[in-house]
Amino acid sequence: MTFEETRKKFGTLVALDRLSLQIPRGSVYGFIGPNGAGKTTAMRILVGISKPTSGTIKVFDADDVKDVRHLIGYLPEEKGLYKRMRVIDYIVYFGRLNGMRKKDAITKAKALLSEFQLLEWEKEKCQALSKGMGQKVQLMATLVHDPILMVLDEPFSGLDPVNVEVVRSIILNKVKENSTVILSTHIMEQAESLCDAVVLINKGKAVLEGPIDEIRKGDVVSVDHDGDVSVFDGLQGIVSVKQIGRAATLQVDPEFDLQTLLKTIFERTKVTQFNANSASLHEIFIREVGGSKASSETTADA
Amino acid sequence: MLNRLYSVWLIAQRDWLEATSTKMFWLGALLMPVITLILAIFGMFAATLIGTSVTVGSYYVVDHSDGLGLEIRNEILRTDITNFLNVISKRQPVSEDEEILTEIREATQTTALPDLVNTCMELLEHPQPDLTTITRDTLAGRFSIWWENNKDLIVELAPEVSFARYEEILTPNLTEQELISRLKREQILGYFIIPEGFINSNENAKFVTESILKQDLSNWYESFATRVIQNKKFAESDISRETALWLLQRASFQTSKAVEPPRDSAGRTSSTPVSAGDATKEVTVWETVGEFAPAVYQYILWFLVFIGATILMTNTVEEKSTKLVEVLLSDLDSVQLMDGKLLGSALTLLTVVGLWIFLISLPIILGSNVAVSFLPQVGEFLQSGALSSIFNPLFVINFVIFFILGFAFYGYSLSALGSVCSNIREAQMMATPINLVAIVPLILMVPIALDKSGTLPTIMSYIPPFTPFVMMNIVAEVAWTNYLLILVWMTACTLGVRWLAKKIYTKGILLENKPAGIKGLVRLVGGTN
Repeated sequence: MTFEETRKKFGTLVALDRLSLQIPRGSVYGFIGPNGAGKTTAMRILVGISKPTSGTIKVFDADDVKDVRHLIGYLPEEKGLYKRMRVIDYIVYFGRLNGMRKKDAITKAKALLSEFQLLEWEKEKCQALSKGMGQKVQLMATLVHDPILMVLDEPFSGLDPVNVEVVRSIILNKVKENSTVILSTHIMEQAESLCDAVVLINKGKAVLEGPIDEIRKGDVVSVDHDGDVSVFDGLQGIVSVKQIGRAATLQVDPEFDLQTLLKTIFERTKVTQFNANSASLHEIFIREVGGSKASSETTADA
Repeated sequence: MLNRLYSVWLIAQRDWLEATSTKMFWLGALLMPVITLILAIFGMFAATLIGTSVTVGSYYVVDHSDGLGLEIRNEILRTDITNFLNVISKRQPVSEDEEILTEIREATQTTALPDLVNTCMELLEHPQPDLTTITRDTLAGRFSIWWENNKDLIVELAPEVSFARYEEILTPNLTEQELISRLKREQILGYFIIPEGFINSNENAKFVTESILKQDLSNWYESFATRVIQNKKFAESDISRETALWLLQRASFQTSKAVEPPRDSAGRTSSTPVSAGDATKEVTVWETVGEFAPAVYQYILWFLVFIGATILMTNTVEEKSTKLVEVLLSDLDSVQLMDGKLLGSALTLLTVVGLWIFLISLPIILGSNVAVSFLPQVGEFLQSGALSSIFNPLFVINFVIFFILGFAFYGYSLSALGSVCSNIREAQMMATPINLVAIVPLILMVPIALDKSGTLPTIMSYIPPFTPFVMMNIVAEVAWTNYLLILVWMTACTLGVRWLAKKIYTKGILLENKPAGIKGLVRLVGGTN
């Protein structure tokens, strides 16, 4: 899947601004970003619901998503059901819309209901389901035609921990079958533990993109010292500084030599404690999206 | 292509099944014919009740003339006896009939009716007949005694007799105060004052009543008074009753319909000049009813199109608000989705129509004899040929054609409007202009039906929002060339609306804010989705 300079405007609002991505097959790819960043717009373009204002999008090398629509399963963020339809009929209906024969769709729907532990609900109407069960049924309708690309917008929202694990295992199984899963999530721990790669979108732009390990590669250094935040002024290799009390958190350029930096800090202040770690996705998210701005009173850019 | 059509069919099938699998649907669909049936039965019962047990209104006559009041009373009696004898002479004998009725029926076969009436009048005419002096030796005598003693049965057999509705109070010399008192207590409907010299002047002739809007008693009594005065004037002028009737005869034309002229053995039609209108036949009441069939079709068409289009709009808003539409649009094109939903709604409406036709046809399916035994009017209706007027293939085929075009036109329009709204109230507000436009042909339905080839229907038939409804009403009067032109034009406009609706729907369905408004809709037509 490739986005090339993909741009989407709604009137004067730029929802996606020249987004360029390459999503490898057989991976779990995360779209992360704050509300209104453009994640859903990007997903809608990917599944063909929406068209880009400019730029291109290729899915399985097809220029028009419509040609490969039957290979895609899409789960939107807000999940609705046909309340008066029976659970099995609902799943079968979406299977048939994706070209399955009725008999095959029924067989697959029953297998999914069994896998999701909802087989005893197959004859019930959707209105009888709880929110979590409804969401599982939605996911089954997305999976019923065995898509090789699954686009899941906030798939874990509203699910209890047990069902989160069920969905996680489904996603991982699909990837084992060489399917691709693209998901958006607000829970950074989920993205960190599930995704092979992520793109962080903010205000329609890709702020960070790449494999999780590479994104996290930037070092974070915690320094407890006697001085104030001005100690770090003008130091090379520091991307940002946040200091609360005597504890400073430094975002360090991974390319910069850490030993040199430490030596300079020791020259400027009395250090009582020092730790060097990889940044968590949560920290990266906060940093990139504006967490530093939110705590501007105690933060200073290096 | 087949896959696309199959997806459209799946959408339609689901919507149809969901709509028709509820009790509410069947209750709603059955409600209209059932209510119609109940109203019809109630109407018939009410008519019977009115005919048999209506409260008889009383009146009084203050006669200052030279016995005109008495003559009017006798004219009313003569008319009642004539009407009753007419009914009995034409009535099929029934085993429970009293002997006198059989005698009367047999007598009317041999004796002229006026002679029998005259003989009876000699025995019954006012002032008050004395029954004790009437002999039972003659038929007129036996009938007169029976007449005086069986008023209820007479009303049942001939509901049009005067005493079924009105009764004159014969108490002599009631004072004005007493009459007004009776009026106030609603014991009488009113009283007539016949002045002296009424035969020459209406001056001072009055009908005094408390309910001035109820003129039926006054009109009824006036007609008899007029007849009596005319008879007197003819008598004074030495003009016989027969001559008088001849003089008073009104000119009238019988409304008839042209039929295929008779052909000779060689298959040629007669070339003789028009004489008595051999190639015509009398128009029955039911045939007149049948003439209004297109207007009824127009009404049903309008009703179905709007109910269907509104349901479609509501469904669109609901699916948008639940985000189900997003899942559907990841599997289908927006136009496929719109087509499928339109087809599903059309199938639902056709199911309703089919149910109605089945219920209406039930008497025919059951066999007309069974139906007629319950409702004699059904038999009259079936034999009248009105059925062929109503189910004329021209109307039925055009109903289907204009239903498809009209429903598509309004269905696509309202779907597009529904797609840009986030709740039903907003959608209803946005649909108001469309509804106002569409109601115009309904308001003009009767004027159009009365002048089908006039300028107004002709112009309206070319305006797409009006075309289906107006055409349904005037289709029998439209020339083939015009018909084809209108059909092509309407089809093109419907496809145009489909294209515009697709543009709006594709973008509108993803809008999350308040309605786009008219300017917003125009903006949605341009650009990408």
